[in-house]
Amino acid sequence: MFRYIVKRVLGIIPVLLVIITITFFLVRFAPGGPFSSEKQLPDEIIKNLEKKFHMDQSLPVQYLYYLAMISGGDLGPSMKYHNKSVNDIIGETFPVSLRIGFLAMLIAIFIGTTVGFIAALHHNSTIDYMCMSFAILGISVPNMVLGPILAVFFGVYLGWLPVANWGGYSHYVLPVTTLSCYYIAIVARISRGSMLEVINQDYIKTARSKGLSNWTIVTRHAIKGALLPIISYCGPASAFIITGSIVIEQIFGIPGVGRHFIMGAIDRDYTMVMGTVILVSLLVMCFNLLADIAYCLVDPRINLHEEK
Amino acid sequence: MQLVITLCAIFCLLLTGCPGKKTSRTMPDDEGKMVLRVLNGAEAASLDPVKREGTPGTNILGNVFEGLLRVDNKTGGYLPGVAETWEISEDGRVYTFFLRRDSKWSDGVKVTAHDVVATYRRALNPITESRNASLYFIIKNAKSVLEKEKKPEELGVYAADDYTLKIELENPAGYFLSLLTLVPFYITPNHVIEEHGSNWTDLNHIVSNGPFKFSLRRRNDRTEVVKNEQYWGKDEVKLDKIIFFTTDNGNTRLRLFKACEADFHVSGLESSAYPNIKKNPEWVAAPRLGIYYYIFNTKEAPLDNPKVRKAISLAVDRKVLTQVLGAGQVPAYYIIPPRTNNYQADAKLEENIEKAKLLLKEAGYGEGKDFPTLTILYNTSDDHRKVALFISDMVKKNLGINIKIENAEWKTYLDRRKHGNYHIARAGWIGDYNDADTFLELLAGDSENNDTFWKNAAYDELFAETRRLSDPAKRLKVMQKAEALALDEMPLMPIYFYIADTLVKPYVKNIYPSNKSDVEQGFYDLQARATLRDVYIDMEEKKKYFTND
Repeated sequence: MFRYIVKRVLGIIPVLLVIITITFFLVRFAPGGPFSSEKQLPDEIIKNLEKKFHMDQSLPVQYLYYLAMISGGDLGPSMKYHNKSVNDIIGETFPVSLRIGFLAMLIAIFIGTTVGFIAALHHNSTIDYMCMSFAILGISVPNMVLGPILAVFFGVYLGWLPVANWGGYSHYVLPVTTLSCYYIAIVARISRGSMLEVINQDYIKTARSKGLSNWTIVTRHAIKGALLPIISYCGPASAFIITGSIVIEQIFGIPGVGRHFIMGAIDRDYTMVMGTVILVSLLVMCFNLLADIAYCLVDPRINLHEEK
Repeated sequence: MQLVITLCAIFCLLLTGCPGKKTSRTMPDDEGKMVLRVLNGAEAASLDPVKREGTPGTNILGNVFEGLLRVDNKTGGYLPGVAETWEISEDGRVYTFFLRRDSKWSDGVKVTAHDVVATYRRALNPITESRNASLYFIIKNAKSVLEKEKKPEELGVYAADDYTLKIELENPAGYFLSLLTLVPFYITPNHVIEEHGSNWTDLNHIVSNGPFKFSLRRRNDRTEVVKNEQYWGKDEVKLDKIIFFTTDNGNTRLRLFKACEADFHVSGLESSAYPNIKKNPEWVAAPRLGIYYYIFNTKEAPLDNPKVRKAISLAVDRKVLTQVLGAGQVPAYYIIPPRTNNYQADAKLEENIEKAKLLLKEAGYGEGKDFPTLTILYNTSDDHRKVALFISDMVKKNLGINIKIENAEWKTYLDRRKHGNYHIARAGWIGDYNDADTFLELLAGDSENNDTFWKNAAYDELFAETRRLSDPAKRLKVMQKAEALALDEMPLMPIYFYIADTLVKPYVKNIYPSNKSDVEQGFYDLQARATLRDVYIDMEEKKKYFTND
């Protein structure tokens, strides 16, 4: 297993390099640049800015400069926010997104699997239909609709929760709820499907014929098998959920990293775009690896050793 | 079914804004201190006044730093700031300022004339990367200093002694004093900059000389400033603290205001808020120093013909358009916004469909025959789309010309405008300073902001003359002539003048404008700056507001 992990971790490097290269050139081929604005800057200042960011050099040279810089873990200075490095900005904003995303994912996994399993165990009953109706509602109501509805109802109308901004624990409630709804729904559907498949398998029938109680069958035998598809979904999903969402951040005024993905691209803040892309790619690869390791822990049939 | 009904009901609430139901809310616990909560828009790119960018940053910096002069928030005019008195030479080119001796930085160090000299020299050093460098060009040798043709010492700003400052100008600009109330002209602490370099704006280094000083800054969340006890006019400052919330979403800002989580919404309501928001007594709108217009690409046929440009411009009903937009925008029949200092528009375009048709015929496109299909380029936004659709429809109906509309994201749109890759493009200009000069400059042949490619020797000569003249009456005449010429040639088509609308709770006092009567009496700043130095909160009224709401 150790060898497998080392191999996978080393495998991240070439993948990351490919991603960096593609993103670097794609973002630079987009029209406009970081210093274009409605009010033109004097040439002297543009020249100076371009020199500072090596933009007066050819693209391949800029690319080499960039690689040299990030090889030391430095994502470079932001081109939009003066005197701020991309490392600083991600360092300030990522923990916020991480907290919200982590909570939302935790809730999604807990409620989603519970609802999904209950629905599966009461297959084709009213409970099943109710659970799945809610799941469809959760999937089909987008964040940008649900968020404002919750904010208006609980914040403006009832005055129970803060409408937006960042501060105490009460500020977590609405954004985490909004963010988790979609994932609860998806997890519920996946877990219902996988549980249905598992409880019809032979080993469950064997357990049942041995006279085990329904509860023991589900908790001891069925859950383990039913968890696999959920793990394979939650791995990459976690990477995306903890890197924030511009929609949630804008609706609830949260100082997270999500907006920098979008705003970085809109502002042509090249270093910021690169920084956020590197962050999310690393996370996706790490979570995929974690999901693979989790497979092996949950299901002994899966072996991470190399086949010989 | 019940669920669906409930959801629909909630959704309706959302659309209508919020119910009239009065809920008593808990007043924020500020421990008896006077705290103003301001909804301020996007994150400020820099805390350095000479590098300020965008309205939200300007709103914060304008209250934290102070220039030689400060803004009179009731009229938008100027009042003595760091300079107590001043003298102007007869030819209007040399200004001598006598600085007050009790102006200090928040660390107790005195503000001197040397700080001013250092600030302006730094602003004109290309390494500073000031986004406002062109504003200083009115100062003698400023442009050549920026372009490194002259040494910084040759810049026309001199300290005669610690408290006497002399500024020489390139031209006798009558608006120079109002220029000094702008944030980029505010003074920065030389002793701190010398010590920390460009990192001087870090929260643990920064000091300021205005009514407030920085106390907290959280990216994309808030910037907090507290009363500066070293400020010379501290007895006039009543607020203990201002919280500027960084909220870039207009709908979120509106919800925060409605939920009483903020007292003052500076500007930038989403178009979906209208017309409902206008019923709210806390909403107030005032004219603003800015124009929304379309530019024509005058390089290419058929728009290289002024008759065609004029025909299109005359065929649009701006009154109906502004009614459709519904926020109270003012139809623009000329270029320089009404109430601009020292200016009164003389020429005016007259919407006239018959005349437009005639002009088009004279240009060789009678009844729109053989007229190529044109495109209106705008940056992606519902409002811009609305305007573009309206205008293309109207031109099609009145002149039989086909105009398509096309959106592009911001930087692509800017790139296409700059390189002349468009037929007609949406544009907007908020005056940098309160003088017609900032608008007339838009069409000067050598202006970096002239994307129309229109170059007219007569206009350029008139414009140059306005900069040479010091007599206000003569200058006005020449400026009017220049505007008339621009309207006759129509390289840009005025559409409407912007308004600035704010939301302010009734317990916040000394904010102008805070109601309609303020606007009628002219109590507002045409440049819509949030000057909060003299603002205070009526605590009794606030308590009542929260308990009875």
